[in-house]
Amino acid sequence: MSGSGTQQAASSGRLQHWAQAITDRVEGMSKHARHALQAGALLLSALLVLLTVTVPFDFHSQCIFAAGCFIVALIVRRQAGRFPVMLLIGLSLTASLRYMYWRVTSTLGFESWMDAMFGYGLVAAELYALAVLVLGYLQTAWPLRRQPLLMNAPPSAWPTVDVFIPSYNEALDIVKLTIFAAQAIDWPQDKLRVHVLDDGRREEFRTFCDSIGVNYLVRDNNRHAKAGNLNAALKVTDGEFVAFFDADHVPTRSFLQICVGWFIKDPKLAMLQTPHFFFSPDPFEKNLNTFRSVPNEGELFYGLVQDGNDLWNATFFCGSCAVMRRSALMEVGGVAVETVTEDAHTALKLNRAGYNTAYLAIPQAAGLATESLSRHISQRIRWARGMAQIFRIDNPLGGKGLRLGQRLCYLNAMLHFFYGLPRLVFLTAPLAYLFFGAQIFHATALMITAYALPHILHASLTNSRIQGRFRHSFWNEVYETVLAWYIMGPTLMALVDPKFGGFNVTDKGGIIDKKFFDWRLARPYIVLLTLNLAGIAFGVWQLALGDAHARTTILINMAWTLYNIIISGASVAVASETRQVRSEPRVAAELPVRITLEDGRIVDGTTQDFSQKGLGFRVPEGVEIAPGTRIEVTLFRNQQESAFPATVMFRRGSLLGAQFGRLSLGQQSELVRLTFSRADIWASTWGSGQVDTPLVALREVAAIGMRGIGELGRATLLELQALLVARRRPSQAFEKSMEQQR
Amino acid sequence: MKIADDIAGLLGRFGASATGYLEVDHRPDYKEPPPAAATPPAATLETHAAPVQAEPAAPVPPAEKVVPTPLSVAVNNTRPAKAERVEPRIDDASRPAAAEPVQSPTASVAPSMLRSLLMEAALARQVAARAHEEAAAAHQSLADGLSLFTPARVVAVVSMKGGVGKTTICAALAGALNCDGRALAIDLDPQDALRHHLGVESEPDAEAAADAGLAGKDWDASLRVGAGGTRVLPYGAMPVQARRALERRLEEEPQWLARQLARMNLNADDVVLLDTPPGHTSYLEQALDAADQAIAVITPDAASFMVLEQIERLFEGRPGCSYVVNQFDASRTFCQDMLEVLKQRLGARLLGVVPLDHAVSEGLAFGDYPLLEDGDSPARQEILAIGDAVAAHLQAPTLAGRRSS
Repeated sequence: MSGSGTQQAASSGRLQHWAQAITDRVEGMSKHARHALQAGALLLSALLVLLTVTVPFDFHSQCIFAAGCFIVALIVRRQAGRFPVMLLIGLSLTASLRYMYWRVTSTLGFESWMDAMFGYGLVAAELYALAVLVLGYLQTAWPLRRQPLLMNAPPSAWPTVDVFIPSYNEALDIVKLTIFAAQAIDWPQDKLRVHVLDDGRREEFRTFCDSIGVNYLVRDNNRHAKAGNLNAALKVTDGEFVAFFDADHVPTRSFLQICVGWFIKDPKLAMLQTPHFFFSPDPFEKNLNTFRSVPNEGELFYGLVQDGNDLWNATFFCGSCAVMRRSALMEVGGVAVETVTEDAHTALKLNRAGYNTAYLAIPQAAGLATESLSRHISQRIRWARGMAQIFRIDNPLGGKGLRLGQRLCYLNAMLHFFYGLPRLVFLTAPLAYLFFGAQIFHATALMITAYALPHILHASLTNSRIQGRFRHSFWNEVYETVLAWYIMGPTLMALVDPKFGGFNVTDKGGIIDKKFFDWRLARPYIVLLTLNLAGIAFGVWQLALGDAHARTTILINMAWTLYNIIISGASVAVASETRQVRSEPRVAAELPVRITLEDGRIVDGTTQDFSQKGLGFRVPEGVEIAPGTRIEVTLFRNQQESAFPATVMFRRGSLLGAQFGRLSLGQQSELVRLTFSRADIWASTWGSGQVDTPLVALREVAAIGMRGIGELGRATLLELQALLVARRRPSQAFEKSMEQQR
Repeated sequence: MKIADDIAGLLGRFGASATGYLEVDHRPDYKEPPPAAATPPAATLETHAAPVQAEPAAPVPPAEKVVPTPLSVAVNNTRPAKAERVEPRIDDASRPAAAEPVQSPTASVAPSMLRSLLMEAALARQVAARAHEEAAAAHQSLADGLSLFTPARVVAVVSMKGGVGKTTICAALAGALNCDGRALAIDLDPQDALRHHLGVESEPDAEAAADAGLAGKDWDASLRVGAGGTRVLPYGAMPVQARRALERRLEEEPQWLARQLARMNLNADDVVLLDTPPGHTSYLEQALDAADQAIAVITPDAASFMVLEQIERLFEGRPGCSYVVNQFDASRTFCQDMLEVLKQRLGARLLGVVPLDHAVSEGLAFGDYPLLEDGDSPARQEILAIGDAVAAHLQAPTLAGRRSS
């Protein structure tokens, strides 16, 4: 194994050497010669692409060609490095473009109006998917992987930084954490100003800020929500840089020193974004029980997409966990207020004004994920609407100030949110044939297999290679299906009329104290599931009856329907909300801890998780600490240590859970410094999920889909039972009254 | 510069170097909200002075209330503030007069018994006052003859082992007894630590240092004013030769300290506190000879218990000797048990129990003297109570016997 490894290394070394030699040669040539060479190479590759894509193959040649490409892809995908990725992308693009060319030229001869309607609908959806695929490759093929840059000037020369913590209706308990952590950021004390921007104008916030010595800012109105809040604060502060943290995003102590270095190095840098990391599971992870095993929805964006955007200088602001240069921000008029996704719009304006934006893929702040599916959907609707608004009023393809790479990256970011309609089309397309017999695909089943299958498989394989660490295969479909129905309306309306008011999904926030099935929210998925199940039934019936001629077509459609069933089933599973045991989620972390008991015994242990209110820890075997014991918990960070009073709440073997006693403000701050403020607290779990294997992922999703269908069945039965019981009871009362009357 | 492990861990993970990272450890002052209850619950470890509340069945009332009866009935004391503190103690389990050791105070006492106890105490007080007058008269005649005894009242603070906080207690008591600026403290410990506990800096140059302190000719001139207005005579930064010479002198002249004290410009209102080095030294001998009262400082641990015998032997035949338990940690059950044992052993000779407060030792580094200045510190409250007890004892001199020898 090692032999081939060194061989690979040697060959890639030789390859690099060769490539380097050529690059040197090219750079040595004169400007004209270089331009000519570039133009020539471009022309040649364009011709080559055209040839590959448009050459019509008959069935056999196509099969052989496709098989050949696929085999190469299978071999190449295991190799490390950026070059195999390029090759995979090339092969995938070949397969997909070939398919699309064939699709558009040979399969659109429709006979009836129904065929035409369904047919063109499907082609449009496929074109959308192809556009997103190509732009996605462009965005993520070469993530920049920016390194952190520490400050190299003496602290007296460091710039002043204002930290903004906007809040509206979050509880003080949650915002307290962010405020303490912001105070604990490693930055010269006279140059760090922490401001709490309270749009709720609450007295307890004012008192709290006063007692710990941070600024408390209010304004007399709530126009433009968070954007207005930030703009009002910008007017009354004057730090050279501004850092933004949402009320529940807790920064680490190294945040500023890691981020600001880049601003010094690049004077044109206006914004640096870091990932939004969540230490609590989002509704998908919670309800499907995939926390920390399957990467969550945000990891693709924060782990890969933004990193890819960084190469093209198209990173956009996400509203929190970022630092901005005040002069640049004021130049574009502060935070944008024209759309509901004010953050992305602000970054677009900055890019148009000629500033650079950057991304650092290191989690330096973490917060709570959305607690329930309804809240999650509301949030995504807002993002989708905002992006559609920007697409409409400030389209990146037009206007000046952007380079081509930036335009395409922003375009993809916005285009991504239009997946509502295409996803629904894909989920119902085979039913057109199974129900209505509509011939939406004017080609033989075998040709479809020969062209569509390579397209699908190559896309799958390439995406798995590029995104494997950040998203598992087939999960894309699940995420899209869950949201498709809900974002379709808002995005299309926003295209037509950007000022149109919001669609509100009433949210059920708070502690979910018992397991329940969100019927109302799950209605779209249930409809899809039912339709597809009916489709399978129809298909079976047709197989039994029908002619052998149509058999392959039916089978292909049924296979597609089966796939749709799995995806819909998984979406239904997400709507089955699980019980949330703790009101305050805990962060899983292993830190050394020392327990001092009242009788003087000292026990060294390891934490399992912690929060502001308590922590769970493990002690060595044989140590007996009964619940109810008062202990002193000592936490460390490097040489610092601090003790906190606590009471043991429960015990399970060597695992103990303790709740902190009443802590003074100083102690609370100390606790935050020793836990949430640790520089590496989030980085240790970042990007450490299992790498994707498509087949395993398919099996997982299928299992979840089956479970979802089972949940649905069970919930339906329970509802029916409840209905029956209700119907029986009045009759009993009726009988009783009859008895009494006698 | 050592880089913290979490910073190094983070940057190492992303392939960057951690040099150049600046750690800022700024702790702003927080305005803590006032505690919910008057007595902080045992659960918070903000100060370690939490009295013993965890066990409601404890027979002993909390530390700050361990004060012998003379205080609660001594109404002729000069400190008016004490009157407020007297009230709660009357409700408390009443104690008999100082002479009888208290075994286990009852939780509630019948009013008639209280009255009889009070009458006994009043009687004892009157007797003592009469004796004082006689002794003073005798004392005066004696003092006119021999300038061997100072009219001031002298208290020696002793211990058998080091590290119990004797110097701290001595300095604190000096502050507590310094109501009209009449208290002064004399450092007999070559460590020369007492001055630092009262915030008096060392002399800048060696010559001045040699004259200031015990080795100086004029003790009055060498007095320095420290925290709380207390006057202190430091031991002085003596070179080794000088110290040996002084100690030889102590051996040769058993009355040296008494004579020095007599030479000072003191009157009957003054209170002199003598800080002695730990162990049985010649300083200790002379201090005990010159003192009206002796206070032994012990800590609630096994080591102190083991030297109790030695202290008791030392105190044999000398009336007016009492004990103070220092560095009592209420959150430790061992400390509580140990205190119980000591109480049983010492009875009424135990003047007070000073709670462990890290602020005291830490304050020394920063020039803060919570035992002399911080009114909210429970340790200081205890010191004040002990001071009152000492003052009361000093006013009832039954020790004329010593002086007339």
